[in-house]
Amino acid sequence: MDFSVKNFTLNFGPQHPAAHGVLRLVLKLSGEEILRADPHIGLLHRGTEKLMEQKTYVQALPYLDRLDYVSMMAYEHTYSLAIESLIKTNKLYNRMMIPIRAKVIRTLFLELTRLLNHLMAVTTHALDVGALTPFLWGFEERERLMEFYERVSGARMHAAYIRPGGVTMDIPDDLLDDISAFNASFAYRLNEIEEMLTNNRIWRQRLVNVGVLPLDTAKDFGCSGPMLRGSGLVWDMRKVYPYDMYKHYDWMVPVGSVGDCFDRFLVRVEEMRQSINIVNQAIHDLRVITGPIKVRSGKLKRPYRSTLKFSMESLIHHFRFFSKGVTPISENRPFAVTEAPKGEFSVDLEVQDNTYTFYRARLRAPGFFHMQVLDTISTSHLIADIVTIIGSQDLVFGEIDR
Amino acid sequence: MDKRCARLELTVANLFPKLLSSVFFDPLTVLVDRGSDFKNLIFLLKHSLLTKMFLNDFTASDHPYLVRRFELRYQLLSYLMNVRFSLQRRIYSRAYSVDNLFASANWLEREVWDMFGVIFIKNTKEIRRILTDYGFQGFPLRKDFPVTGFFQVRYSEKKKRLIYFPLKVAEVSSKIARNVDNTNFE
Repeated sequence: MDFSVKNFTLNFGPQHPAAHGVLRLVLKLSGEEILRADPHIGLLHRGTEKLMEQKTYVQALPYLDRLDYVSMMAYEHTYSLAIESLIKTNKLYNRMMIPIRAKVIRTLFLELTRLLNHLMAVTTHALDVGALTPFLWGFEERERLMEFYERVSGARMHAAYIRPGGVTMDIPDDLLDDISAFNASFAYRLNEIEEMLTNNRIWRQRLVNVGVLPLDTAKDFGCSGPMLRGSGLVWDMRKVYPYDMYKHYDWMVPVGSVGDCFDRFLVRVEEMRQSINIVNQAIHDLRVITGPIKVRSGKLKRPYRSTLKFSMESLIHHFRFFSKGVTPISENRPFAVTEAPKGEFSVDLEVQDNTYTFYRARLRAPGFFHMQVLDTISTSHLIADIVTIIGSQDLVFGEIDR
Repeated sequence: MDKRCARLELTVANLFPKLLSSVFFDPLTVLVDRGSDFKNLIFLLKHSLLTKMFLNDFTASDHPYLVRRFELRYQLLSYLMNVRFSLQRRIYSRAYSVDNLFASANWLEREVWDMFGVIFIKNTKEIRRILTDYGFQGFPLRKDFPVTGFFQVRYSEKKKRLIYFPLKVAEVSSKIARNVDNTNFE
């Protein structure tokens, strides 16, 4: 008998549930083996960078929430740091200092955000591979975390809580008790999730030595976050270029050894444990440290409502803040890079003279680089493995497509 | 960080005295004027200067009132030294691709082509649009591209597919109108 064998081209997505949103992946197959994976991205492209050019520095902030819609505060925080670097060299430096309480609150919520993101990443990964239960458990915890978001900012997801100059408002009195109660129970919940997965035979068969990303490839392709750490490099912006309170807290950076999907899973789980650790330290600090949660200067923040009726300067600042936003003072090109839960996120802004809008806003989304490496690491795997690999990459198309 | 940056800056200044027209810290920024020097510099940065550097980010911005219209910004990162190095360069509309030097360059160049219409020559693997729709026309991040775009999309019951048709906007919002005045093209 004669067989004629030809390569098969298959569309994976954009409606496939394991495509994590809107990924159209054109797979070139030889039997079940993948020869080439060509991601077609941009189906969620909203033109954030262009839209930010139309807004004042204050108005552009909520767009950042909507980039990565599973870890919202991390992105607005990076933007806030960039805007603060614009002001730093001012004469009024002391009035521009971010108060320490604001920094601790930021750190606290950044770590809660990391939990929020990694819970999503790990449990939907498990769901893609076939384990439904951790997903149900994880989303219960996510709901509780989003409740904390709601209690500080009024919004479950798109908080706009961390703003240039500090945070929007102080945390409610009883929030710290609830977060520490959550923390205690969450450590157990994490153990349960790990009990289901880590030593599970099926989970290991699906993940170990699948999608191996060698360290050199990871660096070459600009991978960051758990993707890079899974391959064995200790590279965490919170350690190598610390911001906020990370320098003062005691925590560790987990790294993998092989760089396969299983390592990335383990890194994420361990990062969650470290986050619990940091959150506990931040809670401890917040109980002691009191004081303002915004800068003193009215150049960066809305003045307090109570001062409006009495202080001429507050009234002027109020008007300018809402009509013009922040006035750029420094000559620097504002730039900030932080460790978002998915990897290195940087905001690179070009300011323009005599106006109150950006000339160009560049957002470096970590997922964009992880998506690019998919072709390299999925070659010669089977089609079932592509689901595992995509899951371990923790893709969210809000940030990849911007 | 600053000390290391200063050393790197010194090294670059010694190697290419004419190149360093302006330097800022954090990230260290170098403006490069001549194309051939640029190629040498980026090669050196990748291979021999202190440590291997990786292309961390690459972007452009549009200055339509200048002859050299586009400003390219390469951001290089050394994991070993923890140094970020940013190279800026103004071009007309074509640039040499750095695809053969950095694996991450391909998609970044595709994005810059897609958004700005900068053409990358030599060494490119493939340049096609990446973020915009199939068959999209125009370059959205150019300053002469209106934020509303030129076309709108709807599903046509007759043709049973999505169709593009020229944009009809009842009124341009005041915000957009104001912003047009703000970008004073001198």
